[in-house]
Amino acid sequence: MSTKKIIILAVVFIIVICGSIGFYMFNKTFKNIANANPDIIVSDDQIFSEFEKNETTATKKFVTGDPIIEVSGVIAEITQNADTTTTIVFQNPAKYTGDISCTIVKTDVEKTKKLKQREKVTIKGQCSGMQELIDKEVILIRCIICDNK
Amino acid sequence: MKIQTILFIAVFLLSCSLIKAQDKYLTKKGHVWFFSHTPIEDIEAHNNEAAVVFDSKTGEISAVLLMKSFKFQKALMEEHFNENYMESEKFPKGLYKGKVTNLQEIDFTKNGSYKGVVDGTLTIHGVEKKLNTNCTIDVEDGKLEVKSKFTITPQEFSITIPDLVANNIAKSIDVNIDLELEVYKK
Repeated sequence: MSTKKIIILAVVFIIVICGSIGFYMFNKTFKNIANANPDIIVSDDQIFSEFEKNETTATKKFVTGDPIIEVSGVIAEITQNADTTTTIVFQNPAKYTGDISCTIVKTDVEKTKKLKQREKVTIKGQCSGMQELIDKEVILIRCIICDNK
Repeated sequence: MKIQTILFIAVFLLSCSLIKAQDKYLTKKGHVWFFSHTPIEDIEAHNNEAAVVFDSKTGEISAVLLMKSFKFQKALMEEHFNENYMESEKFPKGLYKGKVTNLQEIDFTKNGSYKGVVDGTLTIHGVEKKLNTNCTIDVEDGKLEVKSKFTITPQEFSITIPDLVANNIAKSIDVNIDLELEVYKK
């Protein structure tokens, strides 16, 4: 093969590789929370007390890098939202002063319809942080319901 | 006579407390979304976890939302938004503090659609800027639906967009607010 041909092939090869990487990154998907193993497993009072103790440290741990958090707690409230998601709120006044809000994805909404107040449930999701304007609330989004352990 | 007086005072006090209870409205599920349109691509993100408190007596509004609660369609966009543009690790929250300045034109006890004029400041990415806007307040049986729309620029909040993607992000971003506020009961 002539040098010219080799160079052309090499350039095409590089373009294809770069294009593939670009294509892959552009179409990068969100973590499949339902199938993935959790990065952090906590109870409701554990995650709340870490946020209450030091919000900055807790944000670094639970929010930065989008770790998948598995949280278990007792359902205080369960609301079917207008946008077809469901919000489950964990509360335990004996152990902590605020609450934890978990918004469940549309695909798991049927599971939430079978849940009731005072039932214990485990969810897996992504943590956005803590809001202190109304009560003190740790917020989790993109949550799924874990099947009974 | 005495019983009547006591009864009268009791009813008066009770109605006072009921009226006072109508002053504060709130939501923890406020919907805030923004939209950027360019010929190259449209970017849209939705936050359904905005916390908002509104005092109908003083007109004061306070709102907090977490940047990480904004959901994009594309994972890469969401990553860029949090890691590069908003630096959400450093500045995890967006805050709005304002006041409805035309309270006298709004009757919170009468169902209807009212125009609200709001003056306040918006703080995002660590930068505080004046933000005055209009809103519509729909009163229905003691509940308020508040809608608003305004534009902001990444520049005014010191948000740096790399030259490489400058044409992918609009110079001014449309922000929409849709809140369903209920009376604070506790």
